[in-house]
Amino acid sequence: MSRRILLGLLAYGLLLLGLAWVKGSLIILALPLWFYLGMALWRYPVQSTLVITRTVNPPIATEGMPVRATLSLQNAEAQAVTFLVEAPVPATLALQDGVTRCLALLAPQETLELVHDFGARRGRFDFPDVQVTFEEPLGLFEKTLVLRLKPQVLVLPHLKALRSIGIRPRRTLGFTGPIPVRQGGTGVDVYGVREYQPGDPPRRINWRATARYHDRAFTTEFEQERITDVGLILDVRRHTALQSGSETLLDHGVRATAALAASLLRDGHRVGLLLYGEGNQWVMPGYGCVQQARILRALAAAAPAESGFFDSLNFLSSRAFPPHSQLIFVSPLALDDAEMLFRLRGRGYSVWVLSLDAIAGEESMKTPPSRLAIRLARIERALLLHRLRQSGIMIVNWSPEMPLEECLLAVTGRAVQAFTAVARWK
Amino acid sequence: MKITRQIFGGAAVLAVGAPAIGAALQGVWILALGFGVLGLFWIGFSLRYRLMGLAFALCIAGIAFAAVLDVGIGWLLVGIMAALAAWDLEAFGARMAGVARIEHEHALVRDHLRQLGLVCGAGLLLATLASLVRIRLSFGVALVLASIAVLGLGYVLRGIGE
Repeated sequence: MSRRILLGLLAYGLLLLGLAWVKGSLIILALPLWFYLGMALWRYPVQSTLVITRTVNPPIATEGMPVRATLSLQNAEAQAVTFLVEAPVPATLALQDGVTRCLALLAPQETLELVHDFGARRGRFDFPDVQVTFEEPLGLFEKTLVLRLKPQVLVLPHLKALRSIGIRPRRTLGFTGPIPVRQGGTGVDVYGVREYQPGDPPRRINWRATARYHDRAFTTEFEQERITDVGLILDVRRHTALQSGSETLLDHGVRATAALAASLLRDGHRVGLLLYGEGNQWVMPGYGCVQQARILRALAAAAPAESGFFDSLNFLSSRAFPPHSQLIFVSPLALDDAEMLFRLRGRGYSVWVLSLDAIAGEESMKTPPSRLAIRLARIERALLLHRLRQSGIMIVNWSPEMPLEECLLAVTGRAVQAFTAVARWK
Repeated sequence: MKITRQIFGGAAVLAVGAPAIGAALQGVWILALGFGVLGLFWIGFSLRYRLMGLAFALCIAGIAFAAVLDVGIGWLLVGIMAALAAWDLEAFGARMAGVARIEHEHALVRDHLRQLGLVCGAGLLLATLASLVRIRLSFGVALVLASIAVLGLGYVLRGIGE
């Protein structure tokens, strides 16, 4: 029962008893209670003007960075005002310092600041509404204002620098990049020697070959290097976002995708991103730093998504990617994902799978599954990866405990060797 | 906060002590004893916010009962004012304890104590003046006043609730 109801009932009770008993002393006893109630009512409602602002610094942060939210309340009235302010913070942000409830008496033009410090975790966070409760001096009546101050914090995934990734798609774009395309032109590596044609720059003349013939000149050709289209596909389906230590596999996948995107964009490629799970959330392909920022923003908001329709990979829209481009699928892989990957490969895409090892995470749990179960899961996974490899899909089997660069180098090193061998054989 | 606790303790002792003395002077020892028990209960459980209202209500009920038994009005008025002050201070203390940060705590406490002192002083003065006034009410007038009070109760409670 609230205080005012209790006081009202007691005051009325005494009055009614006094009238019923025709007892003046009871009515007299009720008077102080009535006076108290009346004084509280007289000071209500509380007239007050507060200037309230909420800022978050920085509004865009990177994982692990400290973030500071400041709620500022200034009394714009000519008299002091008492209020209780409740400024809750998103539950998913780890509050390191600061209070969420504060009772204050502010003098005219005085400012109160509530500062909250967080350790940022990846995600997009909306701050809940701020509640300001004004009280009359006796605290019996109050007026609550709910303020929809909606600052947002975007915490981008931590970006780990990766070395250049040696992708070899079947189709490249016309601009200069890092992928050798087995065509003579401008480049760095020597591709071959051909007869001089008018217009060839004199500094490309191969003097050694020319010296052997008295009537002809030869030109050194360099191998063209170009960029390509890369489609990054991050699996955000809930059933694949398994726990791995203190984080989910999705968190690791997000960081890996961010690192891949940064590396590929640095090499000059045109990179797009598809978050597959809730729907096909697509970041259109683009170049450079702006595209990197777009991809990081999309990755920051990536969360496990529940969708009966997109539970299977069969609804992955391959039309989103240019034909014969490079696709990199980042996922722990479900058993039925293989069919779609085969189809993509069949349509001419160069497919890489960065497969996060879910079984390692299961093993490190407090109550791990039985050894037999883990062994069976490992065999099942090994078979799946073997089938994918057999169809020409490049597999990077990555356990989050291991450095990603090491795993990538182990695979891309082999890929480059195989590519060179095929080129020689041709 | 310490001063609030001290004033609360004093007010609670006065709230049960004054009616108890009045009851003892009237020879109603059982009521005086009841007030003593209530005082122990109130001060002992004062930290439990939910029991605060109950202790206050019991104290007012005891004072009303004492008034019916013709205990001296002066003792009862002092008791009821002290009970009101103790109940108010207890709620104020609970409200202060429920927040992690208090800005200008001393000024806030001082302001509240000033307001409470003003209200209690004025209330006591009003009640004392009223106790000096003698008005004879016939049964009919008393009935009309009671009806107005009953009808008004609904309006006031509804207004307070909103």
